Amino acid sequence: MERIKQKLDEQLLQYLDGILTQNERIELEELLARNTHLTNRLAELRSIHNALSTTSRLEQPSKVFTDKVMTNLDQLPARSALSPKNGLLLLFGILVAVGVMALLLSLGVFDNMNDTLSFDNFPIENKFIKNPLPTIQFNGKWMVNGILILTMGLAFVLLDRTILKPYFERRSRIQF
Amino acid sequence: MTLLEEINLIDRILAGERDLYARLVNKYKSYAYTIALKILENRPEAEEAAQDGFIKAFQYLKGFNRQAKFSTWLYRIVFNTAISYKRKNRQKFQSIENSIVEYSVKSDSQIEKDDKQIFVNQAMDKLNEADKLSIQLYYIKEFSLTEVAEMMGQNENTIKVRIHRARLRLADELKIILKEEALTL
Repeated sequence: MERIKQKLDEQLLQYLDGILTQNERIELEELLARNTHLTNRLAELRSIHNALSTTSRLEQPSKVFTDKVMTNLDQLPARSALSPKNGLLLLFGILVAVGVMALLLSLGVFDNMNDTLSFDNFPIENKFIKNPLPTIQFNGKWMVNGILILTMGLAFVLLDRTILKPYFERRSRIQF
Repeated sequence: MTLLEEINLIDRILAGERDLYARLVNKYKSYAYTIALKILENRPEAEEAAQDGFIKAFQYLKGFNRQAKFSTWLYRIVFNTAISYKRKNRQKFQSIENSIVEYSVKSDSQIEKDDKQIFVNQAMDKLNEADKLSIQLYYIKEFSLTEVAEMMGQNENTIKVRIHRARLRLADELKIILKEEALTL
C-alpha cells in the first residue's frame, strides 16, 4: 500500500514538473478524475510546487559587484611558483634532512672530521710562488653546523612563502 | 556568448588581458550571488562569498578543464566558498541596516500569499540542509538538475531523490502547520 502511495506521489511530482510522457499523463489524468483523494494530494503538492516556483528567482547583487571583483583582482599578489602542496612536501623534506643531520651531529659522526687543508701540496710549479701558501684548518662539525643553520633558514623562508604569507593574504584580501 | 567564445575569452584572459574577466563576472554574477545567498541567507555575506568565488576562479583559471562548462565549474567554486563561509560564521547576525523593511498597503490576496510563503518557509526549516539547498537551487529555473548535482558535488540521482523527498516532506509539513494554524484561530 505504502509503495503504491510512493509511486503515485512520484508520478504526481513528475506530472507537475511536466516530464511525464503523453500516455502517462493521460493515464494519470483519468485516474485523477476518478479519485478525489489523489486530486487532493495533487493540490497539496501543486501548492508547494507553485510556492517554490514563484519565490525561487535569480537575485541581483549590488551594482558595484563587478568593480569590486576587478579591484580585488588588481590587488592580488603574484602567485608563488610553488603550490601549497609542493611547498609543504619540500618543507617536510627539508625538515627530515635537518633532523637527520642533527641526529648525526648529536651522535658525534662529524667529530673526527678534522683536517688541515694545505695549498702547498697542490701541484703548482714553484717558480710562480714566492711566499708559502696558507693552510686552512678544516672542521667537519663546524661545517655541518653551518649547513644546518642555512637549511633551517631555507625552511623558514619556505614556510613563510608557501603557507603563512598566502594564508594571511587570503584573510585580508577582501576589504569592504 | 557561445561556449567557444567563452573559451576564447578565457584564453585571452590567461594571455594577460585581465580586464576581460569583467565580462565573465557580469555574465555570471547573479547566478553566483543567488547560490551564495541560498546558502548563507545573508546578503552582505553572500556578496562577499560570491566575489571571493570569482577571485578564486580567476586564480585557478589556468587549471580549468576546457571540456567542462565554465559556468558549472564556477558555480562549484562559489558553492564551496559559500559553504566554508557558513562554517566560519556559524553565529548568524542580522544587522538592522541590512534588513529590508517594506511598508506598503497590501491587498487581501497579497496578505494571503505572504502568509502562505511564511508557512512554506516554516516547512522548509524542517528539512535537512542538503535537501533544502537541493530544492532551492532546483527551483531556480536557470539551473538544470545536472548543474545542481555538479555544483553540490553529488550524483544526479541523489539530487533527484533529495528533491523528490523534500517536496513530499514539505507537503506533509505544510499540512501539519496549516492544521495547527486552523486550531489556533
